[in-house]
Amino acid sequence: MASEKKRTGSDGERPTKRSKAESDPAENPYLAHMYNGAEKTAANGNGETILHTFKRHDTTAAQAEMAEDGPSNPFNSKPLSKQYFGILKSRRNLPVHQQRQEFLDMFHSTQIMVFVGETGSGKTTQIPQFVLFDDLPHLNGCKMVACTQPRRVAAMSVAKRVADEMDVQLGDEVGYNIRFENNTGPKTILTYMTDGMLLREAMNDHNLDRYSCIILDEAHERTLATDILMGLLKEVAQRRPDLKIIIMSATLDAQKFQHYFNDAPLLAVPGRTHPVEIYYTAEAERDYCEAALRTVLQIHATEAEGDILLFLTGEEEIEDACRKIKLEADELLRETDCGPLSVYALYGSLPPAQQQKIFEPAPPPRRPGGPPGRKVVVSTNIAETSLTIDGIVYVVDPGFSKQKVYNPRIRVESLLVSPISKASAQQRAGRAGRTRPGKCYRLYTESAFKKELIEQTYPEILRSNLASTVLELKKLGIDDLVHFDFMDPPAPETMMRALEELNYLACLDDDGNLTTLGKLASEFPLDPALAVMLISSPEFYCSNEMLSLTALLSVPQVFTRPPSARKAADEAKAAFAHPDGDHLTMLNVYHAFKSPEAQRSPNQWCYDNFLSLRALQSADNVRNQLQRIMDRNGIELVSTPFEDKNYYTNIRKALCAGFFMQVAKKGQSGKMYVTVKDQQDVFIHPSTVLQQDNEWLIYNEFVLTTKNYIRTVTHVKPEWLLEIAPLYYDVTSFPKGPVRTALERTLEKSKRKELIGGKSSGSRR
Amino acid sequence: MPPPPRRPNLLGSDSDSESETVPVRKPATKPLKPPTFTPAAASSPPAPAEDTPTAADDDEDDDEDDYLSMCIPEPTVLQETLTQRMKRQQRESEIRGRPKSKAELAREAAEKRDAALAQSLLSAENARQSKGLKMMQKMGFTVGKGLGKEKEGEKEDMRKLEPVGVQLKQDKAGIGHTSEVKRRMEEAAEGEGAPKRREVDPEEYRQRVAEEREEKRLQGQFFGAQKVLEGFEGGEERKQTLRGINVLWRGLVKHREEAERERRMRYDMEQGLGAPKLPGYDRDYELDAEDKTALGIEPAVKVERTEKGRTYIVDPEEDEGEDEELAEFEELPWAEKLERITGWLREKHNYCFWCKWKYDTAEMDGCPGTDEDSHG
Repeated sequence: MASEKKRTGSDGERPTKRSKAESDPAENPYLAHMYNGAEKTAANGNGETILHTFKRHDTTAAQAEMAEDGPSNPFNSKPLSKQYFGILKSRRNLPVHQQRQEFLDMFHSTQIMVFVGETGSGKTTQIPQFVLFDDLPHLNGCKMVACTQPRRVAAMSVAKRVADEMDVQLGDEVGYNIRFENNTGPKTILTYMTDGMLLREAMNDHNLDRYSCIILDEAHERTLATDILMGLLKEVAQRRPDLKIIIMSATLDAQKFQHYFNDAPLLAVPGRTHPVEIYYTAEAERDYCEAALRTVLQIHATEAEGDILLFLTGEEEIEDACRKIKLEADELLRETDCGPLSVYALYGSLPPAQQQKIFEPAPPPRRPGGPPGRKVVVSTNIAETSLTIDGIVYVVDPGFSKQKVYNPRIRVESLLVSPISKASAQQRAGRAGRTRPGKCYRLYTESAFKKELIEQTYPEILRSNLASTVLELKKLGIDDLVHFDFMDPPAPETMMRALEELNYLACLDDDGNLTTLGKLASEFPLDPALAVMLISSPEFYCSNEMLSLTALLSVPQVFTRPPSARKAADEAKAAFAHPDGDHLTMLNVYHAFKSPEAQRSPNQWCYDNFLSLRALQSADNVRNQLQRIMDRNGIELVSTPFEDKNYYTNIRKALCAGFFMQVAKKGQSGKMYVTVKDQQDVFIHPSTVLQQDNEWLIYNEFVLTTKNYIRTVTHVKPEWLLEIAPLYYDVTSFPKGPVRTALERTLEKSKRKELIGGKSSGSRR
Repeated sequence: MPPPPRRPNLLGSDSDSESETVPVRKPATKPLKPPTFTPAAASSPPAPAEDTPTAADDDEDDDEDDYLSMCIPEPTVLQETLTQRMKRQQRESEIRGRPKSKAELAREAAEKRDAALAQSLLSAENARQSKGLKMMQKMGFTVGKGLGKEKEGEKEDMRKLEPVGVQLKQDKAGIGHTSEVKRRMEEAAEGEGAPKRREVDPEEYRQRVAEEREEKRLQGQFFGAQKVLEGFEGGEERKQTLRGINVLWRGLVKHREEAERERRMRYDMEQGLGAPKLPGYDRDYELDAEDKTALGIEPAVKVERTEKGRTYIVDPEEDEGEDEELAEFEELPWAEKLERITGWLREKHNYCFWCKWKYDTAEMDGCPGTDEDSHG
């Protein structure tokens, strides 16, 4: 009853406050941003909200609902808007809302809990708010609630949505924090962040003291960062009994989480889903793309109203399928009495504006009462979990997706087309039942589903290079990496490679302890090789250039090559080409992009030159963020004068300082190269600008597509490698063969040179 | 080609990051034609002269010189010793083997890759040198065990010991297609069941090989004779039942028919594996025969072969029963069969299989004899 009284009390206060507002500019909502601090103290003083009457970790759903009903915002005492009440109504209809009390009871009773809610249950937006009303982080030593997301876009969009739901400004009470963009403020009590960001925070704050509750959302996706965070939180939970942890998952594989967190209790909320009928093919398909095409058209020709979602593996395949479906559908439209069909592509590298198109409604029938129009979305596995498209009734699943695979034995990290898992197939099928009962057409036989698909997709930690992870774990203060409580421990060889690489990069000493360089490198949200390259770039008088290059290597491809204008695109690229390699070419592009001429109309300029404005702009943004980290750590920004003949040579040498482990030497025959240590035959990716054959190349990636390819390559000299990374290029450690012979000759030659002209200085500057 | 415009920015390097001291080139609004010499290339500082011939480049040249000198036979080498010749031949064959096609290179690369992928880093000979492994051992790692916290009652195989495999998908085959094709092929091959080999002593083996070779030779000659006979007797007739054919060459036709049937069957089977055919969502009932043909569910009506001179549509019905006459004839040893058919050729067609000549008269004047030996 105390709350009742208080409520009337606060109601009673409002008129007086309002009358005061006439004279007090601090109460003017338009000037509120100027008086943020003042308002906060005021709220603590006489302006207490209903929340002050709540007993922390002892509230009920009814109390919270009352607070939500207003009339003033319980978090900032401002009057609640009309829009707020509109949203509140729909929020109360979400499946999770039915179980609010149940959730609170469990939340009170345990430190760690597992929450399972299928997509559409509202867990991502609602659970953190439920926590806010009970945990009251702002009244409890200015702590915060964090909710992690595997993807940047999700963190941003969910934060925006929740800010609307709570009727606050995004960046005030509710904010988001993602790599290269922090939108939180002093008032923030709920942060949506990428799992990677929380991990970075933990590196400097091992106990995560800023937070009173941490929610790991989409844990079923098992990203690398989520996996490490779970291991970490398990330890932090013991050191901080006051910290509450919620693991949220969308799939029913939750027992694994429960088991991992010492049999934590589980709460499951049913999603709002309809039954989905599953069809298998009678025989295996010879060409899954073609089969997919036929299936889509068949659905369009014969099935009732409802949109189609087709899963394919990558941009090229998707664009090709879209084109073919459009052609076939047009023909169908001419020849038969079919409804119109609109086709949309959906993949990660698509500009956001085009991604938005998938939400457009299906076209209307050609004539009133005629067969319905239909929408087809051809998507990568983005649409599997992260993106929800309403109106999908039919799902076509060929059973493949592109998955990242890393193998330590030859150090290749590649996106490979692989069969999906059973769990993934179920998730895909579930997409058909969002609006009404749906159908899922699997382009494989039932026995293939049972025999050939693995149960669960391998978590990312088993498919990744662990160099950055090991560096992070070391910075997190975890010394025994071998016995770290991984949910799925990676292969020993992967760990061995990571440690070895960090040792060669001088980030770890021979005993496995972080070096000064290692500590510095861990400050950068970058791959260790890139970080080391950046940190050592002032030694080569080109830190400005390496900063730009690092940014360019951290964003998606800057060059575009539309299928309709390949030749023109290649010509445009050739205009920026540097004969010594792709890295320098990218740098040329960036410099040209920053010229006043290009900046006058960047959009047009990028279009004319077949460049991605989005990639270049985000490179710009990344560059600024990295520069701040460099400033903070006292790393100088220097450049060699452009007229100096060593301008580009210095950049190439600086590249060697980070990527000396990614070098290939020309092979015996043809265009083939051999990676220096693992002795793998590789080809230069056709996208290169390199024209003549160069003996030694440094590469940014070793990928597998149809062949072994090295991508983004630049010509370097063996002398530099021997000088910059003498430990890695210890000639005796190489197997006998052409690489070793060439290195030995280089060594002899430089020794001879030294003997003859001992006085001649190095070539730097 | 006009010199490309470039304006190196000479402002101090302490200006803010947006307009830092990086050179700013005017971008080519429309790309200049010869792509080999582009503004960026031209404006780069010329590569320092000292750099151009690297040690490695020199190696390459030396190698090429070697090959050249090897290809030209030296005039002095008139009498080379046996070893010299062998060495020369070996080197020459190496050179011949040198230029490899792209496909070969890619295959070799794939083989190397797969070999490396199959080789554990922990068992590799240089594993002991790895500092990474040493660090792990310091943390208490033992080779053969997995990482992670040891839990009571948890089996070791729960933990991942091997890295996730790398499988390169080169085609668009649907899930289960590859294994399905394999299974069908195996099934098809099963009936034929190759006879099992057993150990034999060398003498017996040599003898058997000689016999087999002789059999093969006779067999070949017999088939040749059958074809000759077909030429004489097959003639105009396009359609005939199998039994109506002379037993001496009936086997030829029969085998040909069987081979053809098998080929067609194989083709149908391959087509049946999801070629132009809708994924079978069991909508058979909705389709009539025409739909099926259009959709490729049923193979189109079989076309009669009209190959000239050799068209025998044998009534398959008749095949059902045992052809005792043929079976009996086939049982005979090859030599006997050959004798019979050459005899028949001489008798009926005045043709000597060994002279390869059709004589005008039954006396066959000029033919040295009835068997192969007399023909030298």
